[in-house]
Amino acid sequence: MRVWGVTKDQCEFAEFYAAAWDECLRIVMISVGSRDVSEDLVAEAFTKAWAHWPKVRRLAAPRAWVIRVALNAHVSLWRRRRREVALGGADAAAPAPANPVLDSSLVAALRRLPVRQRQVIALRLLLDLDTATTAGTLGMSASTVTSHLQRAVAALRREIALDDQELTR
Amino acid sequence: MNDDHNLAVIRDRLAEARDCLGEMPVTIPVSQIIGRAGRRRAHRRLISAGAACAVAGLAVLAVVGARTDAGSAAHARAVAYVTSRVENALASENLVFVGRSGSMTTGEYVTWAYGPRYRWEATSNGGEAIIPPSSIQRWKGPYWAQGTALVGGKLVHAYVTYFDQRYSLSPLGSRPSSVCAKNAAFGMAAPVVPTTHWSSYIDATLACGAATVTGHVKIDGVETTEITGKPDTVKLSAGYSKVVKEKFATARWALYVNPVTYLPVRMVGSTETFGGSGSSYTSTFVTNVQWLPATKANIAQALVTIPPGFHRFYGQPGNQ
Repeated sequence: MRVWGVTKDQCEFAEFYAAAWDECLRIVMISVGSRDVSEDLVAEAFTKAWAHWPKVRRLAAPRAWVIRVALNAHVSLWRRRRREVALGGADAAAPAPANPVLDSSLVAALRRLPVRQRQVIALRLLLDLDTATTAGTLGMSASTVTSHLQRAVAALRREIALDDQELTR
Repeated sequence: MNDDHNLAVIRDRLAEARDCLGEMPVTIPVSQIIGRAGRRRAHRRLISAGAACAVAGLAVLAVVGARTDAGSAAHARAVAYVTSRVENALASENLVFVGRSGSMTTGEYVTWAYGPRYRWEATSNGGEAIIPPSSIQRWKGPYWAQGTALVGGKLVHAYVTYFDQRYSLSPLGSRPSSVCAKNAAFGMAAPVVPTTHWSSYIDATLACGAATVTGHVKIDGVETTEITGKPDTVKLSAGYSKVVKEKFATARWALYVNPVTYLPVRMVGSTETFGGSGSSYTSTFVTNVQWLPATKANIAQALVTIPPGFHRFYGQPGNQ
């Protein structure tokens, strides 16, 4: 039976959405912390993905595009909130609920990294993309991806060392 | 510890953190994501069209001089123009519902619906048909239709019986906004169109717990989401109970909807009567749905027309 009015694009996007939501949300949550904020960011990123679906569907890793957009939106949100707090002096964002996974020292350190380094970590280590695909998704050269990754690893190394010391005590 | 080792440890620990978060089920229906993008596009069109109209309006005002009355009239026209463009864009998403239902016992039904208009017609291909009220006759072609008719430019409910050339009219009742209302499940168990806004109707029905998503099924190669309603049982009225020799009726229904649009692809409903001296009886409908473009011809199918020469019956349509 033919269902009129439902395009092939819509079906394809619905399949992508159902398959990618879970992974994208988890990765964004690790970088952001709050589940509510992460859900909003990921939903916003998927909305943009649908708005640009003809382009996004042709990418090597559409999930990476969604994660990148969500993390960029988080920076915009943070900037806007900072401006509002500076002007209003109150109404700061509520702290994220306690979550042992999200409060580990390594994850906390990841969240302190610059956004580009976080994006590289998310795409290269959590989404397991190669350097070339990561570079293509983030719109940077492969050598810049490597450089961001090295700096991020150097910054996170201290946290691993601290964790290991605690374990051996 | 070298860089490769650090990289491997960080990768493992972050992956562990990601996996420890547990499953994150989709909380926002994809229809909402698509709808949100559509609304933004419409909003952007509205703004750009509004800006264009404002520029045009300024030019007109410059020519005719600073006449406030003319300016506000031009502005009102501009707003009306922009609004109608956006409304047309949204209306173009409207489709005409065509449902074809087969039933083991009561013949075949075709339902056409567009917005508040609908026509539900029972047809027999020459076999036995149950002609209300409960007499069995042989009949070929449509033997009754009910739905909306245009009388004096106003939509009213019409009921036409072709076999005795009669019709009755009554005011149009309101439709429930979901299946949450008492006995609304019985509306879903028959081959009628319960709503004009499927997306919000289903959302509200799922939200109040009157139905749940029970799986995913492919129908003719189209992926659908199965939504199953909670069975609803009522005690039959004394009069009806006497006719059917049963005391209770239970309605059951399931919808198979397109996961993107929430538009139904198939509707299945049944009503079982039981608890009396008669043998328990179940009538089941399976309605396969097509969505057609809103052309003039298709929209016209969603209206009941009363053939010339038919006599009006004044009284309860069921007694016609």
